Amino acid sequence: MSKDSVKLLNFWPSMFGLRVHYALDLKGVSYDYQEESLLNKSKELLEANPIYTKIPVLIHNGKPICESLVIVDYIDSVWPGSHKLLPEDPYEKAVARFWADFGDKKLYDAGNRLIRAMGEEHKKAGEDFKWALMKIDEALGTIAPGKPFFGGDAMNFADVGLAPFICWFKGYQKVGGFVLPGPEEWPNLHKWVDAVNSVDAIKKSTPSPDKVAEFAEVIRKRVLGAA
Amino acid sequence: MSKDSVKLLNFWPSMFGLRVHYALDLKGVSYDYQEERLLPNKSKELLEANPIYAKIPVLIHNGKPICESLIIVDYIDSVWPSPHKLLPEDPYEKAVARFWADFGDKKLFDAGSRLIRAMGEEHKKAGEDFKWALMKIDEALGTIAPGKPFFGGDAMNFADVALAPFICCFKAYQKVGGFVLPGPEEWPNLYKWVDAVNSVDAIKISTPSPDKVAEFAEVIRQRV
Repeated sequence: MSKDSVKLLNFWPSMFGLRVHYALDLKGVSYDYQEESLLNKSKELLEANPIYTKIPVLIHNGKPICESLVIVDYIDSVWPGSHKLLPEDPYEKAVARFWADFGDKKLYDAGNRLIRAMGEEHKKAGEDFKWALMKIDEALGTIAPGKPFFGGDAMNFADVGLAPFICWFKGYQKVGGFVLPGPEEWPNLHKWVDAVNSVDAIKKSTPSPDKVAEFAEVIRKRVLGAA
Repeated sequence: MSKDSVKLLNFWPSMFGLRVHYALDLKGVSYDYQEERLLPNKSKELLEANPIYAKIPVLIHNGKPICESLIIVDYIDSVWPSPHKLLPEDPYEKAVARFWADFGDKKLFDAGSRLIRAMGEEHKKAGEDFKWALMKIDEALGTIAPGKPFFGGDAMNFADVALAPFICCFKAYQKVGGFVLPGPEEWPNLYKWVDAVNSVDAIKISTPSPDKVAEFAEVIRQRV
């Protein structure tokens, strides 16, 4: 049986790329890693993702798959046996997809504005970011009460969709100039954070929050400097 | 066997709601339809069904709400896999279908939205972006399903269902954008696809008239 060729093109601070790392690592899939410089995108990246020219891209046996949640879905289809991420039940699956997508629509969107916006818009970004985390705290309590993950006892598609933002919390708080509420206010969220951070597969590829915060501040300075 | 209760909360011009119509109609699923008036106030039922986004479409199946159009279509395909399976079984083909469905949101809807709401240079760029997106769809059809009418080959799949709702909006976007789309000589695959979609009986059931959509778009544009 010929060996699968699996390669991830990524840029280390990307929470989207981290979703792919998490999916592959939770399933114990071996893969090569290629760091992309976004200011000098490789010919391979441009050919693999001509529509968006963005990371992450997964190249599996020469075929490129783009868009992080599409990639995670693909990984779950190709390697279903070890640590299935998508629930079998259609409704539970839809709930998992909804919260993964919430990561893009609300969490990433607010975080992005925390890095790039000014004045009133910047202040609102902080409020929106906190609102999003509050909603995640509530959702955890509703969907998996008393359990550490959206997936119950193990991470599922929603957990993988949202967990990459955890290592960005420090960075967002720094550029946002606020401190996130603690476990008294968001008990489910903080239990979830601790549970995610305890998973061995997660520790493999998660960048250090300090490094991410440093990166976030560099970008923020450039944004402020250009203003 | 008790009867399934299936209800779609929607607003008639929404191409996102139309995706849900298409998925249900292609599969011959019976459902109730509830038109939501989004202004001045959204209904209590919508706000309870979709507290996070307070948006349509929402599918309520046996009392449980499912939100976000592509998630709803995915759900419909899981609950009623036959007839007319929308997602390919092969993981790579499935990923390709998901990619192009998502392209509808990221590039087509985004440009169309700016055609309605942007001004000046940004408005002009929205028109260029919209045409670029359709050109990419034309190219994709030629690569993914050469010689076939749909992304799904002989029948509509997940990508077709996600992108087809924009067809009835072409007239509207051209009006508010002040441009005419290139024709079949330039985009042969796209136009064959449009004709093929418009010939599907299930599609005809719920598609609003392009003239009505264009009228609606111009009203919004005038307000902007």
